[in-house]
Amino acid sequence: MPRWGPGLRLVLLCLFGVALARPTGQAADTSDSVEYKVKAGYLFNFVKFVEWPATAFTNATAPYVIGILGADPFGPMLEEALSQQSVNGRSLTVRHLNAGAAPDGCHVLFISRSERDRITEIFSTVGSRPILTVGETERFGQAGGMLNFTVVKGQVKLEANPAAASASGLRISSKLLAASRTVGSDSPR
Amino acid sequence: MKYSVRPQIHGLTPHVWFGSLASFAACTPLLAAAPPSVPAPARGASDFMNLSLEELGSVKVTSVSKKAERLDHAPAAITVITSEEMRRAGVLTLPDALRLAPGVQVGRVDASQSAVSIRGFNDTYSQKLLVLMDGRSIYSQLFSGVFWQSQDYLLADLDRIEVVRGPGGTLWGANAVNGVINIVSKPASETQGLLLTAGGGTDQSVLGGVRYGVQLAEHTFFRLYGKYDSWENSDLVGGGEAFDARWKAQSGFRLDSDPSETDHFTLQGDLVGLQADQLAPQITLPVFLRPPPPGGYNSVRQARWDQTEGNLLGRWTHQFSEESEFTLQAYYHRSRVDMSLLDETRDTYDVDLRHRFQLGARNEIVWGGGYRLTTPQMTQGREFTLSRLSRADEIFNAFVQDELTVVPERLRMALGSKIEHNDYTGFEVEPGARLAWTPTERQTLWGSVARAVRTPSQFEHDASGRLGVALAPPPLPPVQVVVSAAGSTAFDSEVLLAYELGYRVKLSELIALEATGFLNDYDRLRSFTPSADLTSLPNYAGMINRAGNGAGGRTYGGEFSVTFQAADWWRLQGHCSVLKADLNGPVNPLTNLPEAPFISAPEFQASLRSSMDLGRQVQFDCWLRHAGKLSIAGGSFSGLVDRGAIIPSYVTFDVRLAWRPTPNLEISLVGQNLAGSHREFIPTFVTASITEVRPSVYGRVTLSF
Repeated sequence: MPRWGPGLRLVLLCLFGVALARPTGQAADTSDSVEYKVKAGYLFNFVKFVEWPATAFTNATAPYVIGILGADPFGPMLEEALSQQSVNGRSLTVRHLNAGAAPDGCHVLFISRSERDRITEIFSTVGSRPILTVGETERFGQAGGMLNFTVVKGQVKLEANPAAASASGLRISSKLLAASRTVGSDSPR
Repeated sequence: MKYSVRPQIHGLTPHVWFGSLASFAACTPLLAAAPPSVPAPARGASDFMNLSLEELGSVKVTSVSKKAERLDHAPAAITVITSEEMRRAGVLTLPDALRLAPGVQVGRVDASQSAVSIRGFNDTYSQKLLVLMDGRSIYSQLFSGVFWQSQDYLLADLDRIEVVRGPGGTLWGANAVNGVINIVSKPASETQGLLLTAGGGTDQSVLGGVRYGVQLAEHTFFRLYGKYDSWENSDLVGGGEAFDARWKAQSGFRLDSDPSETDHFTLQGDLVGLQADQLAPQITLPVFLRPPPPGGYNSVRQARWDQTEGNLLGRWTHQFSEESEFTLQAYYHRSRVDMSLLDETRDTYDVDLRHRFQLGARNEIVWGGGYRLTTPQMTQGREFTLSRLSRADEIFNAFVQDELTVVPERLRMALGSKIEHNDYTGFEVEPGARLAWTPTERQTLWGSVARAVRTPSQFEHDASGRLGVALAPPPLPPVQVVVSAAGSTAFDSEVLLAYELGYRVKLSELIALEATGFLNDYDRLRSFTPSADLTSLPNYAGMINRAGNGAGGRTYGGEFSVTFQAADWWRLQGHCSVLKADLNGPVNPLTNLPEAPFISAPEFQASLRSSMDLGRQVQFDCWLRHAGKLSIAGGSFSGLVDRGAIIPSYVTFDVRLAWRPTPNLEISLVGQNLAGSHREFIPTFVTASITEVRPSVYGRVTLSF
């Protein structure tokens, strides 16, 4: 290449090469994303604004269990943030579930985008157990999910399917419904 | 609380299927979900636990990575240059910002003019590229191009530039042949408060800008801005100073209002004034037996490019329901350009409407139409004349496109066409089909076939101009020949049939790759056929190069780009593009040789950018660029047989160092083209002086409150 003299090469080596010699910092991951911090905040609010039947807990102080199904977009920050909180005298714990795992013992089941092709299967596994299903995929509520995150104009908004929740014995408070757009199932479950 | 919800995937894709709905870009939900120009202060997840549902719903979450993720699924070769990338690259003009995208050729001609093209056929008035500014076409129908010198904005208030390589005629209509560039400013709500920026340097003697944004009512935001730049003379090739200094002043406003949950109004306008020194060609006609004038028949005179422009645009978006959105846009644009060769005053009136709705679970339909009236008034120039000095040209268009989900979240298809009627060539049809396969969330394979046309410019239809005087070479008798170029009322649209294939993959959270290949098959490309005009003998002979549609051929190549987040403080972005041409043209009767059009773009270009955050306060950016050898028509029209010029390849680099001692103060120092002087471009037709790009340095202080 013309004009690629030794002087230029030296300058470029200084500009780019110095950087190459520096140690690589920590890798950025999605847990840094504001979107998932907001979603984590929502998950905490769901626990506050949804009523579970007493049978969903083994005892009066048993924790709320939030299951994360599929690729975990939250990282450690969800556990860290929730561990400092309690609702109705119950603490909150996070459980990671691999694809296909049964959501036994969970109160909230967050279904990661990675599972979007298995939504129907997952719903049939959950059945009518009192588990609040939370998704982040298109038409999740219409497929029978209870709460769904959508991003509208750069903000995380909610879709709620209260009929699906009550079919599982859960009651979504009016306050949460007021903050959501109500959707219905495509076909009755 | 009620709000309107749009299905997320659909929010994005229609805009990128055939390129974004550019004329409505400012209200497109996907790409318009602007990344904040200043990152929000870092907050831990714990902070979000204490927010109410309403507060959570109002947090802006869109980030560059989020947007990039959605773009990953776009079935088009689209690159988005963000406001942040422009700031960190230290660019001062829109053409320089466009160098950030792969597949774009940018050549600086002098201190004010630039040549910009996508996938070749570059020139100062590059003909095959549609450019929009906030939905307003800035493509000049006089020359089929863009007066880049007058196109500008307060760069801090720009949201992004979408660069779509490949045809976009199906949604955008005529002249979106090789690509579409869509420049989008931020909504007024995102530019609140006072911003002051001032600086200067070796090439740019004054850089100044001010903006004030205010909230007028609960859902109504307004901003007012002004900017002034002046540029020094550049250097001539071979030494000496060119005569091309310029200044530009610009002011404008933007008002955004949401009177209800389902309505959005935008009203905006700008005024631009520009003056640039230039040398204008001046031709003395030979007279039989009279000796040539002392400076020869071809001389130059000092002249001034003088341009004023104003525009006013209104846009209303209404959501009938979450699955049905309607947009109506209207604008008026007036420009007056004294090009020293010609003087043009033009009024343009444009109305567009567009409706998008969901049809069943699988189809999303976008349809619309538009009308444009443009009324140029020309004055007769000394070297250039037009057969019709005043015109009233109308364009009607209608389009429909269906985006079909074949397999949900996996396979999508879009089919559509635009039909347009113009006063030069009548009806034009521009159909297109795209298919996108998303086998996993992280990768997309897409392909497209589309037809696009470039309609004749007023110049190609009506103009004739003298380019220069040359002595006929042997074996012809040694007579002086006046060379001119002329349009033709028979000149028809150029046609492109384009095939594209692209693949995008996110290898990890840190590395994303994109590769695109294309084959462009052109027909009825512009050619110039010389013919002799002996009516002025014995004073001189004339040779008229008349525009026709005798050329054609293929171009092919590809673009490759990679983004690597090497660390959370260090980002690397690289791209390269390859462009090959196999063009043919009619036989020149003078030389008996076929003359193919020039692709006027290097076969290979590459760019590598490094952006480092050194602590919280210091940013360090480097940008290395290479452009290969360029073979262009550059100025050759003034000769008889001597066609073409070669511009050598070059490698150059820019460096930017910025210090942000507080979040509202930034001091930056930028060095551009530091590897030494190089040439970039010579325009085809009017070439009075050939300049080179030299190393330059500027400093700037930006304050925001």
